[in-house]
Amino acid sequence: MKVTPIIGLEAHVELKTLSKMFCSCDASHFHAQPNTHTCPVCLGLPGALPVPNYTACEWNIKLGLALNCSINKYSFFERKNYFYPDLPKGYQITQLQAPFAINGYLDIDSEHIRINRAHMEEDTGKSQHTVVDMQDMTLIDFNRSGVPLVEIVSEPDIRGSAVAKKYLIKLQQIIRYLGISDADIEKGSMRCEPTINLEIITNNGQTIYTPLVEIKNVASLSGVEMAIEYEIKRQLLEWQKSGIIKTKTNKTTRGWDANKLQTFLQREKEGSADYRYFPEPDIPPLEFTDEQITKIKQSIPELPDAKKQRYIKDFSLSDYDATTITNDFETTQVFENIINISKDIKFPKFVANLILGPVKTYVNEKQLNISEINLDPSKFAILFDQTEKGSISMTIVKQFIIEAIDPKFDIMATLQSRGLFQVSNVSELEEFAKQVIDANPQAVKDYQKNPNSLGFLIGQLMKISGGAANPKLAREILEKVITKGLK
Amino acid sequence: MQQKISLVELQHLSKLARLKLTSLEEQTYLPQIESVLEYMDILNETDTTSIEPLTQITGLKNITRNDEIKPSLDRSNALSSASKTTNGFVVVPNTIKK
Ligand SMILES: [Zn+2]
Repeated sequence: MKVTPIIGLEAHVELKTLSKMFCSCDASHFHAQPNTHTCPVCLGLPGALPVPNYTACEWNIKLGLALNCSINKYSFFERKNYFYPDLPKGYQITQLQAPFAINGYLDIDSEHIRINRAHMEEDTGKSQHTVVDMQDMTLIDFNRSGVPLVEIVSEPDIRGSAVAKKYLIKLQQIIRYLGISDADIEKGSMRCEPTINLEIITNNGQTIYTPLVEIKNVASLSGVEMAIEYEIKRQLLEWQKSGIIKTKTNKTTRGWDANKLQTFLQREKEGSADYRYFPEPDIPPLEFTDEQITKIKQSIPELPDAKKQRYIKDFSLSDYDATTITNDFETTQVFENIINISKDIKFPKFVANLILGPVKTYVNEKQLNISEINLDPSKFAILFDQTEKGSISMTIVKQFIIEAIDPKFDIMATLQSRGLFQVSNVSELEEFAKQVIDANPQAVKDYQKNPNSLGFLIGQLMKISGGAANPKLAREILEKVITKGLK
Repeated sequence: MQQKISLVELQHLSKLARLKLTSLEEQTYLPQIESVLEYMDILNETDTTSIEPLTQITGLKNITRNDEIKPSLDRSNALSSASKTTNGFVVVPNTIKK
């Protein structure tokens, strides 16, 4: 028996425009007082006229282009009709026949994931369930109603939970590079709904498909991964038990319970969904010219994959370092800002080591964002110069780059006052070497038989220098003095 | 004559539109909808082969607005037509079926 999961992903992304999609209400809703950002349009009052937000349309096209989509130069909105308390008009304005962007793809490692569409729509209000007057009630806040939402629909090309997660991470990175949304799954500005079933080739060579399941309410990336894993196992067991296979009508919706780590059947809709879409009569169609699309394309910044390749090629960063930095757009901004200060070809690698080492540790400990701390490029440059001269150790560099977050911290003065400069002066080190050799004739003989035993002599040299000797240079000079004697 | 709309279809439509029809109302509306659909048949006789499909009739295009915030409604005003509110929220019957 061979089991292959077939997974498609729907992702909804809330754009961070200032105003809503079809009205001029403030689009921010996180922690805002309930129902303070509403107007006749987003409350669905009769006679209100929706007018599309041009920036939101442009950003949808921009995302489409970044996802290798074709752009429909002629597009229009449609009404998707259904009743739900968080949808005040009784319909959602969305796109069906002519979305802004169609037929794209994302390459994840060696997997080619086709993207069916990236279309524009509006968000619904937000419901919360509570008890009022001893009765179970639902409270609605319409601040989110009408916030611009882009829905990105993949084809069912994903074959496992790990690829699904990678696809979402890549989508999230691209969206953040474009600066069109925070794409924060925990905060709800990005929402993911996997649809999954299994292809099973039975031992007698028969191919069957299990019924489609759409999973809702997954509020984290690891949740998406776990929900898919759970569903793969559940569907296989279910099929082995019941033998039920996919039909045109037996798709179900399951919720993800993040506490029990399992999916559960949500109320099955009676009959298949019937949204009776029709073109939105209140919004005239939109036409984008080739020039407009070209201009949008030109505004797309260097995207993660291209940036990573450039970091490897131009800065000789390792694949790992380049990947880690380019994973986070803000880190790339900080990194590029710092490396601009020096033309030395070794500088970017030096900066990368510090950003991914002590700076990252510091930011994680303090739970800060890397762009929130003061990383002064000139301080990186000072530490780099001193390291290149061999005057300070890497331990000091790592410590000082954190202390230097304080703008008042003076690197050179502190190195001086704390006596942290390494002795890299050759004649001083030769003097130390001579003392060590004179005091340890046996160790010198040992070294001449076994060059690996130099460590003891280096240790002795470090000791008499009070720990100040540059260890790399100390080794070179000891080797030289023992083998060749003083000049 | 073949029926254009069955009782089952009418019941499906009324459910989608959140209308609770009595059987008497169903019997009243069924022939009415039937006659509307028959009228569509007359329209269908028009030859439209050389006519592009239309999704709107105003002849306008590219009506958009700039991304600018304008003041929203005062909350008490915004909530004034809600049948029940609490702490600035609109209250509706529980939407989660247990
Ligand atoms: Zn509004």
